[in-house]
Amino acid sequence: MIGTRERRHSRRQMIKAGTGAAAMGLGGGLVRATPAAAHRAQADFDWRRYEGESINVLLALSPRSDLLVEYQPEFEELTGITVTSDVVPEQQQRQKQIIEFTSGNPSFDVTAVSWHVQKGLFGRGGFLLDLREFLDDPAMTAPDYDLADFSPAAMAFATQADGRMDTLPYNIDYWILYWNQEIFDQKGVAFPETLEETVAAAEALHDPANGVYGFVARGLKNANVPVWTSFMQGWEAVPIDDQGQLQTTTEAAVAAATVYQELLASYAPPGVSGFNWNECQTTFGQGTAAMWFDGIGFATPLEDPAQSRVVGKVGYGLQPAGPEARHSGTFGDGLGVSAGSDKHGPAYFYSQWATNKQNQARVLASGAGAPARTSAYTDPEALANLTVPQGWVDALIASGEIGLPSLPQIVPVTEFRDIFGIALTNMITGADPEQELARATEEFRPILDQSLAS
Amino acid sequence: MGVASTALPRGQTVPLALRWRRLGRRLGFLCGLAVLLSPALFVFLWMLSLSLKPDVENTAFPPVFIPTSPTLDNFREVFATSPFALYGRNSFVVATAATLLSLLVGVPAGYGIAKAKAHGLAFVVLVSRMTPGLSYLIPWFMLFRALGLHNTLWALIITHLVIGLPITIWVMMGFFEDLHPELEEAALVDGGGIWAAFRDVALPLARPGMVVAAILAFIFSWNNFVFAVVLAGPDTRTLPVAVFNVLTFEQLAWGKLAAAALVVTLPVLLLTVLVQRQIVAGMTTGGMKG
Repeated sequence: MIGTRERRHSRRQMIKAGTGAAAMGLGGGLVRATPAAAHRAQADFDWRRYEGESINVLLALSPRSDLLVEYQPEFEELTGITVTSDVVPEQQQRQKQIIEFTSGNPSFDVTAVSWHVQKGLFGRGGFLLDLREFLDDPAMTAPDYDLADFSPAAMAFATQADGRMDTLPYNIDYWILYWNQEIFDQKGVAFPETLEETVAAAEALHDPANGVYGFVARGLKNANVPVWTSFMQGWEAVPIDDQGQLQTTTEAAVAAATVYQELLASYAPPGVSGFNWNECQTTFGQGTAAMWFDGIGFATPLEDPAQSRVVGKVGYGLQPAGPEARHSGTFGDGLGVSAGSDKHGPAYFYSQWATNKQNQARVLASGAGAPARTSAYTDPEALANLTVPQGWVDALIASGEIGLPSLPQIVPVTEFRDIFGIALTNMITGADPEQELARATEEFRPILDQSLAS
Repeated sequence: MGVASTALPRGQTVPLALRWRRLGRRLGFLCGLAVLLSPALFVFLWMLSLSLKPDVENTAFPPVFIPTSPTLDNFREVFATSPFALYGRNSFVVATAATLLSLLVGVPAGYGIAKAKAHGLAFVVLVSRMTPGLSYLIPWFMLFRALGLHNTLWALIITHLVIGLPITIWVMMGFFEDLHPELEEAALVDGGGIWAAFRDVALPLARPGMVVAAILAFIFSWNNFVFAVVLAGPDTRTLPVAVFNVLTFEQLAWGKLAAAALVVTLPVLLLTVLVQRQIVAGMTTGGMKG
């Protein structure tokens, strides 16, 4: 349908605008001023408007959800709303959401949404409530909520193609290069700033006879796709462009895949084609890999002596630059209110509380993730209570300035990851990048066309 | 076993060559046994080893099998972070109720199908077992929401019947088909109806079958994960969910995972060991040998 296509365009333009603004810096902030803002500041906000009601919240298991559950009594005391939190592992949470949303009568009023996987699908299904009306209503949004405080990348993520804002930003996941400073120092190698230098450093540090591998990253199909799409950003390239055209056989796509192949086929531990983040974490945490490229959320386990042998030795570096640009592959989660719920008000209150400044600062202080609010990074209390190294926070802030969504925001994102993931895994065992990408592109094209047409 | 049947009468000396051959056979038998059991045993022992080590040792390479600093922290943490007692009680109630209901319906059904030779019907019953459980979830969810059974143990018990019932019917069918028709005919000749033949003759003879069916139905129900995730709420979840709750993105916890898995496996393991005697006893004392 033409209408759908037009919507997709406008959404892409939005994202582009959002991420462009992101490149200008976190501090810049995309201000979403409302005329009511001035009034709001004076208004006496009534948190107890829904006193006595009860809501159900469905979250995916993560250190961030643990924080929300831990501080939940605070919300209950503030509002008089009773909350039942259901925290289930991510894969099962996604199944549960789909099953319940399609039934039209979900059992949860608030749920966590993984933008990089579910945004397109939930947007098309109209599963979540458009929160703009509540956000503009001084009786519904506390004066100190400060929507402009969210980073532009987060706002772009939280906004759908047609301008609906159906989630409140909670966490942004940037990809960074973890490096083992001890191994680098022993060989006198400097931290690589570009992909080219990364390959050279991996070669210099690779010493399997002494139990050190130059580089590790996900090789397992599906899981491995963000490694490649993030590398592609160095060529200022995206896998699917604004017109919905696949750009996966371009020079940039092949060059990024070639870097992936060089690093994983030559300098990674044996069996890397079966590695997801956990095998990579194990390898790096045991001190047997010099570098690891993955999401920013692994500082807590890497700095925990019960789980890691590299405590105090980890450097947190930015995603290496390509020949044309330096970005950081970005993913994220938000909280949304079920459209099918009959408790929109209390559910919105919870989402609002969960994403307020204090809770976002707690995310940072505990190293549970990367808050979507810029204020968290300058919060003196959060910085004083850090349980992770300052270097991690520095990497987080610097990544925020160059963050760019790494996966295309399409409905069939799982199929995209599966098909191109197999191509990448094949490359590790020696297949030609150009041929593999051409084959995968042909396989995926009809799936994408079908999803854009429907 | 051939090894046992070659025993000679007391007092006779065994020729040396025969004795060696017998020893060889016994060794071969033990080696074969070890090879056959090793996949199951090794995994179990490895799980035990994981649960007693801190994670930094669990992810070490080369792997450490015997813990250098054994610890019970993993178990402690599992019990501290998950409502194990509640989930355990839920699991027990659901598995027991589902098993009993499966037997109640499945045993007469199996008898009926076996006696009527209704193989088409038997196949239809099996279809529900062959269909992936996930495909039932949406209709079930809608149904239970409408009936107000969502988030209750009843929802789980009913859904677990889909797994337990076909197994029970099929196991019982096999047992009843093997039963000598003369035994039931005797009951009929004595003036009892088909119901009496079932109740007084077939049922007692099929007790080992019922035990097998009950164990299988119980284990399947006990281990079922996905129904509990979708159809149960925070207070009605079962134990397998507690095992998965140990795994989170960004956190590795092999030790805790193994500890949780052990705690969840233990009741079923004990049950099987206990009931196994029943099966063996049933097989040797029953009328099954004709």
